[in-house]
Amino acid sequence: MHILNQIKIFKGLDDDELSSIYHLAIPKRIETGQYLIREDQRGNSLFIILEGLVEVLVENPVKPGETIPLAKLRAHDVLGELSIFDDSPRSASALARSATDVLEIPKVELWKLFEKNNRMGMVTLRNLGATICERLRSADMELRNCNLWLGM
Amino acid sequence: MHFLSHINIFDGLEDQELSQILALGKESRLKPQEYIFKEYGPGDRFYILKEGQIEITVHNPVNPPPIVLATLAPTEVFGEFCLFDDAPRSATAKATQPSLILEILKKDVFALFQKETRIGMVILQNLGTVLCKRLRNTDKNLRNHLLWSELNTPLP
Repeated sequence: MHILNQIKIFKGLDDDELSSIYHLAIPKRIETGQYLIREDQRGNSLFIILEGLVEVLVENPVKPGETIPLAKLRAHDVLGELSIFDDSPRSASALARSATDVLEIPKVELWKLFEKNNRMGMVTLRNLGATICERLRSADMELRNCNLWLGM
Repeated sequence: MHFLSHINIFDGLEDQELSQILALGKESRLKPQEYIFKEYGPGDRFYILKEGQIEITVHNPVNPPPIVLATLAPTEVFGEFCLFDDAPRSATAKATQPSLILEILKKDVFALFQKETRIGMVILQNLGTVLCKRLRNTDKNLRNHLLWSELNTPLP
């Protein structure tokens, strides 16, 4: 059983394909209180949490210095995955709330792999797209309710 | 020059690949006010507008007139998120002028992707890029709204 087998965005890949991704991965340890990702910085990698707790947060534009927590991520969660599709700066920061072990996968290496094995690219991109779709649908719905509540 | 080469989700495909996609499509003519799909309906195909105008709306839970999200012009694609998931349609699409659309079934697209994985990878990458942009925008808008409403809520 491959460790990457449990990661949603790699669903549908076989063991050999998972191993080829695993070969690209750089293991990293983030201590409590350290940032894994900083908002507005360039994103060149995606991260897979192996163990620990990471909080996703953004700067509060109204109250400088304060942050707004968005989500808590745990083992097997993926972060920084939007960077696979585009070169925009990171949309949020990720802060370790406990000692956290991650696998860092450099975007450039992953794309090289996808170029060689298009099927892998197709499967992974579809999985990624599905998770982004889900997030977009719920954000759209929330925004719509917000707009209505404010009287548009 | 291929008709589909103007469409951003097909960016990076060659003419021969575009022809394979075009071969999957079926054209339909629509009268003004004719619905193509409705919010919460099943999503088993996506569409390319060739001629005319399509309006994308969502139901307004507070007041009867629906909320207009977008007005589409020729070469725009809609209903394409069904390529990622099986969720119901998130909006309604209706012709506002006599229109000509090309519809492509999801199952046919995936059958093509299985054979031609490069086509699949390129299209899913393009679609994903569009999605990311929309997600980043929506998230930002949502966050601003929440902050704005928080600032304007009187303290208890």
